[in-house]
Amino acid sequence: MLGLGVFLLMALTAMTGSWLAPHDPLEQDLLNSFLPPFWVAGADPAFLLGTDNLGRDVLSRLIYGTRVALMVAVIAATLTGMLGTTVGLLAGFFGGWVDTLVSRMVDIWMAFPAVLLSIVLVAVIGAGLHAVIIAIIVIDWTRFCRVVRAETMVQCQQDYVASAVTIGLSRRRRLFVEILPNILPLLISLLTLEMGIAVVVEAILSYVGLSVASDAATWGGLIQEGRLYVNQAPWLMVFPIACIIVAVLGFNALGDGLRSAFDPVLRR
Amino acid sequence: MTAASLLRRLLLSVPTLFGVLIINFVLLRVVPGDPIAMMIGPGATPEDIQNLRQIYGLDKSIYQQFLLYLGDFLSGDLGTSISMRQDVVELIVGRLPVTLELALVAIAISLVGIVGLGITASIWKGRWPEVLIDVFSGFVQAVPDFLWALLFILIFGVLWASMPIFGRMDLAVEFDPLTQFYLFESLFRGDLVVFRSILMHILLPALSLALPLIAIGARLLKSSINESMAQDYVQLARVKGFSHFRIVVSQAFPNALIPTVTLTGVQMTFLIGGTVLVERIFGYPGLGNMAIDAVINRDLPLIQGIVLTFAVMFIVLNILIDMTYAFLNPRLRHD
Amino acid sequence: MTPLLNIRNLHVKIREGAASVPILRGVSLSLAPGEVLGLVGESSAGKTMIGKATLGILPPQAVITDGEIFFDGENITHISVKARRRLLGTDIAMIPQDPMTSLNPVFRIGPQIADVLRLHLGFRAKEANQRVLELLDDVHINQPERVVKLYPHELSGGMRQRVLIAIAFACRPRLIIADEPTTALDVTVQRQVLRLIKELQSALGTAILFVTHDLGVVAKICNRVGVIHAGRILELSSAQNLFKAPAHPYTQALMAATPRYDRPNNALHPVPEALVKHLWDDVRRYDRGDFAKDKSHA
Repeated sequence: MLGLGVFLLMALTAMTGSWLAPHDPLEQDLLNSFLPPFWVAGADPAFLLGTDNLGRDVLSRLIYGTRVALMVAVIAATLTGMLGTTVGLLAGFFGGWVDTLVSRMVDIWMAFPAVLLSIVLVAVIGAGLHAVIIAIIVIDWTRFCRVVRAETMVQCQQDYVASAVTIGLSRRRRLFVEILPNILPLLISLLTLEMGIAVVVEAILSYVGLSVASDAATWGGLIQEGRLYVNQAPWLMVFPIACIIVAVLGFNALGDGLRSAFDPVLRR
Repeated sequence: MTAASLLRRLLLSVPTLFGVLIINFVLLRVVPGDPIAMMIGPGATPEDIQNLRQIYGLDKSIYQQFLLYLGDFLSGDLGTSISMRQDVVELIVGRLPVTLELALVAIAISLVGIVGLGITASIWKGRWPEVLIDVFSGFVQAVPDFLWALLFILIFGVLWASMPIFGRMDLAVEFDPLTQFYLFESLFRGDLVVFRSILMHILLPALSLALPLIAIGARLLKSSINESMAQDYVQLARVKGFSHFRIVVSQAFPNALIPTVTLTGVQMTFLIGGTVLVERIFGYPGLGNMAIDAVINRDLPLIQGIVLTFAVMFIVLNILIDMTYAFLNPRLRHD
Repeated sequence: MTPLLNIRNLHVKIREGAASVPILRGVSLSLAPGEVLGLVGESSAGKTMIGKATLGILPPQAVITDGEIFFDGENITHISVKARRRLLGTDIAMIPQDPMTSLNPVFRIGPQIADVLRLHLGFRAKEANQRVLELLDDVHINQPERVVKLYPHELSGGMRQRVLIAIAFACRPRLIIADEPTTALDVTVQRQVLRLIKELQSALGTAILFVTHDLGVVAKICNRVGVIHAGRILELSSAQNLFKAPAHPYTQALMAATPRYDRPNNALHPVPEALVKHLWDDVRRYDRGDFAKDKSHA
């Protein structure tokens, strides 16, 4: 399972980051600036993926960036999922005015382009990692809400819910014991998809300098620094871009894999 | 769409605009941190701060501030930028054409791409052109949108250094513009050297904006055309003796446009939103680039003005999409 | 006289994955110039497929596995797409089944008739528009100048079918395939449309292959009638003979099953089960190949 591999690799890198990284990500070495990666002539094996304009080790910075990316991915996606799922479940289960209200809100939300909304939000909250996470939650809860609402409505039509009513299960039991487990596979794939999105949003906001403090290593920040020296040292941009692509594709693959592993219908 | 229904549509967008005004106002009033403190140095006295607060109306109640804000908006006054110390409307008017030009070129590229690829895939359905186009759009959609701009920089700026990757035109080029629509103005004046330089600069950012839209739109158009191809009127066209090519292009395609326009319309708003980031990446001096600077500097009046401008752009775009839809679908045209 | 349309031992199968289901099992028929031949049978008997095979618009899964189709002496079973396009619209036309969906919803009526004139007769825009008005007049549409500017959804089903008939007759074809052209219409309109087809047919001397499941329609318009069951023609004779003295038991049963006002107690008589079973036993034997000789079972 490719997705799981990528995820575990990211998790491992993030956890053992300070031990794994060959250098301090902030350590400057101006004599060794713009060193190329190891396969290019003139590389220093001490700096496997080369160094940036201040002579900081690219590999170490990428490893520390993984930590930020994974943290944002997991925290933001989980919180977004919790908010969206709760609202979606309630709307789908109760219907009526609750549903109308929620659907209206989702429509309005979706009409507003995400990039602009996130910039306004960061402007309001102030730059920083917490702002990135809040922005993701505020923007993307609709993604969960829509799908969960629709799926809950479908599940409510199923015979097993009807029979749960006839044997006298309470609403809460029906919602959490009967319906929730049935939308879980769907939820898991949404969650991993959201992690991929969160990685991208974090990268965007740190690229434009609205995420964590500018000297901290983030993938988006690395890209932005690389963008400045793209003609002298293109690898500065290549590695973080590759990291983002691998992470996003990995999360998507993980979602597909988990979904087919958890879904008893798909498993057959 | 008749004049009356256009008017109705315009009136309908008034509440939307009002909602944006309220949200815009409220959001930026709950900002923690004092923007005034940011704009003056640490040596300022409390009196200085008080004076500035008065100038910007920050000393009044929220309610009064909103009425003031609304009145100013209606009289076309969006205040003065805190960081640039310039009239916000002036700043926006200076930058808006830049973004509009970029967005228009991007939309033009997407339309050509969507129609070209969608029709090609439908004509050679089940053969290699369709397979190729499917692979292409799957690949484009797999990579996050924002990375395409960066990948283009690496590909066309470094690997095969054939295109400029920063700014709006070569510094060496002499151009004394009357308007901010450099591309259109240089073409209109017949100044081809300038036009070429500006076109080369606009191409990569526009392409980065267009590519994701093309991938989604082409796939959508293709499946809509294929759906139309199964309809009875297509069979009749075949029996009339029309060629496959002509049936796809002149019978199925006009019908397939109707669902495609609705769905890609939403994507177009994303394209407009995407200019913010793409302008930043390519150092393109448009509205979006200014927006990010405004956020970094916490320049409230400027942020408000820009957000409002974008909101108006979205409203206008939506009206245009509705009009196109009504134009394409005769069932909607007469009522 | 050489027949205008001559179909010999036509076999069509529908492929479904690895398996294939026979749809036409050796159909032979011929149609003289100016003749109207009716094809009657239950739904899914394969009658529509005969028309589609002639026009070369069989669905992609359906394949002609055996037999030939001759039009005016020329074998058109497997002719090139280009050669077929020269035939379609000019020599062979079609009146489709469903007038509601057979006109392109995004175009006005006028151009939808004019395009076929411009394609095949080389008419220029102005000439074509003039001719369109005449054609609409021929199919008894009032105010043709107004109608050409309308969109399909602004016309009733009967009007649309008239427009489709105008399209079919536009280039004076020698053969028209009419695929249940009245099924989707209500009864009063049905009769008008039938009368219109008959009128144009006799005025222009067009041959028509008239596919229908309605024996009443057959009686009104056809010279000869073929009765189809499970992809085979059971009986083919003149309309008069068929109604006076139906030879095949299935034809007799079909006639008995037609509701008629002049019959006492309005009873419905379905085709007897034993007969259906017997017919299908025949089909199965035929499919196994041991039925090749004895075709005239009746």
